[in-house]
Amino acid sequence: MILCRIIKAILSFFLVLSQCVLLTGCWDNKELNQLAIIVGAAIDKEKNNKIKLTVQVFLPQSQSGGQQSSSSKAQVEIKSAVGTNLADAASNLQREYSRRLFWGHCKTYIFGRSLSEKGNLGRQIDFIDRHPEPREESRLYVSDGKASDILQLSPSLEKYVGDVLRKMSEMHVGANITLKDFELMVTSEGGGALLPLIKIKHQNNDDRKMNVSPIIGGTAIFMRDKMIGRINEVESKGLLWVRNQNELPEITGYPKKGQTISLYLKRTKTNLIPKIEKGKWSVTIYISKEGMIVQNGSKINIMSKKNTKRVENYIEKDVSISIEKALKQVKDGMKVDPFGFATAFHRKYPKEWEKVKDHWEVVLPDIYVETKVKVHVLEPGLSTTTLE
Amino acid sequence: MHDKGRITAYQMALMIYPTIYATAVLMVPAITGQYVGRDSWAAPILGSLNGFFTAYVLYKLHKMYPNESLIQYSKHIIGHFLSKILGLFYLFFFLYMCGFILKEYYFFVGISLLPKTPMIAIIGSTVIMASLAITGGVEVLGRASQLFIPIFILPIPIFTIMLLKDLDPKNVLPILEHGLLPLLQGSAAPQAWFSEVFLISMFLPFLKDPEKGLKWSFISVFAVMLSLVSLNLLTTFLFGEMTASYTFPVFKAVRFISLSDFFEHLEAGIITIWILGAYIKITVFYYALVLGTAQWLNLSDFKPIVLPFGILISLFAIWEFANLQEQFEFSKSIFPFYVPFMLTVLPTILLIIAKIRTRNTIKKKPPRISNY
Repeated sequence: MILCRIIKAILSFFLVLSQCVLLTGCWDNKELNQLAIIVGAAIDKEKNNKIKLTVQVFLPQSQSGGQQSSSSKAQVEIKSAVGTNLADAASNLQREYSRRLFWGHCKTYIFGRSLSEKGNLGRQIDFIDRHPEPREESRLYVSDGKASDILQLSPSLEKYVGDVLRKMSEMHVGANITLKDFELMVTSEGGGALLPLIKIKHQNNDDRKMNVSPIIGGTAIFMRDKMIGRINEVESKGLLWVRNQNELPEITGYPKKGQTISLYLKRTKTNLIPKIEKGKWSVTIYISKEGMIVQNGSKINIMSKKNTKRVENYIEKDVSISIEKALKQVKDGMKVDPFGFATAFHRKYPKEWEKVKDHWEVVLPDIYVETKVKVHVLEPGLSTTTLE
Repeated sequence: MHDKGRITAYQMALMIYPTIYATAVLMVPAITGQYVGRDSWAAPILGSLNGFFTAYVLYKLHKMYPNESLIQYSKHIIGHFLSKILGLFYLFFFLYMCGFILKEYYFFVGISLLPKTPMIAIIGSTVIMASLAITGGVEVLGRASQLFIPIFILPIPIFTIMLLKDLDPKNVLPILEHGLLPLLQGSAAPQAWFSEVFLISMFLPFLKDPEKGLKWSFISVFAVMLSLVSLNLLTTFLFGEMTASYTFPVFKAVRFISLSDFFEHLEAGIITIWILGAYIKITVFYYALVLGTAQWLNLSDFKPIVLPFGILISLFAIWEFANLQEQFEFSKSIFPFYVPFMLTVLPTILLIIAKIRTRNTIKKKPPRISNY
């Protein structure tokens, strides 16, 4: 009896032990010192239908040791490889690394302009979507020139370029588009999409790599996954407002020549109301914005109730101008719909939409768009009068 | 009785919930999405009707033969010979389902967490754990689900809250754009999953409070319906029409969570939690298989056949589908007919025959109830 119990105890002990072997998951262990962590990727067009993948790999601090001054810059290393697609280029790149390339922390993907304009960007994005390591919330960008040039920059505040761009997007400088957002736009009814456009700004014509920073200068406009044009900062502002996204919070109105008045926006909301009357399609864009005056560079006494209305009108005008510029450029010029009009029509008029959905690009320029902006000044800021 | 254990109706409900839900949450959103797109939230509501119906049929059968499972009481209804053949069908079905569930979970874990781990390690470890629980009997299963299922349910509200800032409720509009037909097609897969509530048949004889059996089965089906509806709404709010283009939409949604730079990469957590649910699901089917076999063969004890069947279901899991696409295709086209036929249609036929027979013999004598 006792012997039986001892045997049982030993057996169960080994059974528990055998479970420990499974717990290690030793086929899939990934130690930090076996990984080369990618923190930014740029994809460019190459000859013969190939692409060039440039990655920034994070260098652990202990490696860059030595007696030199604590260089906070040299934390990333940039390498590139050519391949027929992203996965192929990545596997070619792997030949240059002793550690396995790891995509899980890459949250910035920059596409070169020539690649975007060639179309079929979706074929490259598929890798980011399908491979288990890249993240859905990574942000996509289009560079004005070669994408790999952007990665070469060494920004002053952040450790690497990817961080700069991501933080700018989160702060709503330019469009803030994640992989999921882009896919949603590309597969949406109208098929119009947008991505923030990155430019390089040289300070004081200085050609050194230091202090050269990437800026988000405008927006790249896509029809499905093909880039067909770009718009500048003012037009992007209008475009993003229509899409109910924020841009930078300050707006400036111009009461008279040389006079300015600026508002810091606290809240902004957009409603697209589509309407079909007697076969005529129209959209009314209702935009309401609330904010605080942060600079009064005009002769208007903003403390009076009557003048507040005037101030609001000046700023409303500025907002409408941005939006109209965007509409003119994108809707009438490029004949695409990144504004979301198609989706709005589809949601409200599913039957009518069914008839036009195959020739939306023909219908789009004829749609009458009315912009109704309502700006509401909440506070005058901390002073009541101006120095004048 | 093969199992001396007793469970409460509440514990049974906790076992049935993951039995339907644990794998429904993986594949069904994508399958329904392919038919109904942004109306996928409505499909589980239609599908759950089958769940309620199946639960009702099996409860009625249980009322007529309170101490037996379907494998046993079918002989009072259709005779000894036919009931053995029917029992064999069911046992093979359970065997097949065990393999199906194990393979589905292997594919899920293989894509998301352990790409290089061999199949036999993932499947084998689950089967070993499940067989340990089954050797303990039905009471252990009840307690295990009481322990695990709250942890399993909790993530749904938590992750919904974490995703709130990314949700756009307008994505569900326009509702039912293409009429009801796509919705009916889309609810084919959920209703197949809901018919798995059939497994209450194996557990009803063990209830301490059998009068609550139907109530708790209904609550369980309702809870699954609610969970599936809310998750389908969540993925639609987040991904819109893109939902159908992902293999595991709910998993994609969890990966999307990113709160202030440090609350991210939460998917490892949710995989661990989902494995708890899948574990209960496998255990329930495995238990039904083992207990059913013991009842079918009139064995005095089911424990000796637990491990041999463990090896058999591992083999079935390895054999069944060569790849996930194949399983996907199967779940879309054959599963919605095969499973409800076994789990809803056959019991309904049994119930009808039983009703007719008892009406004819009501004057003679009540059916003899044998106690194994």
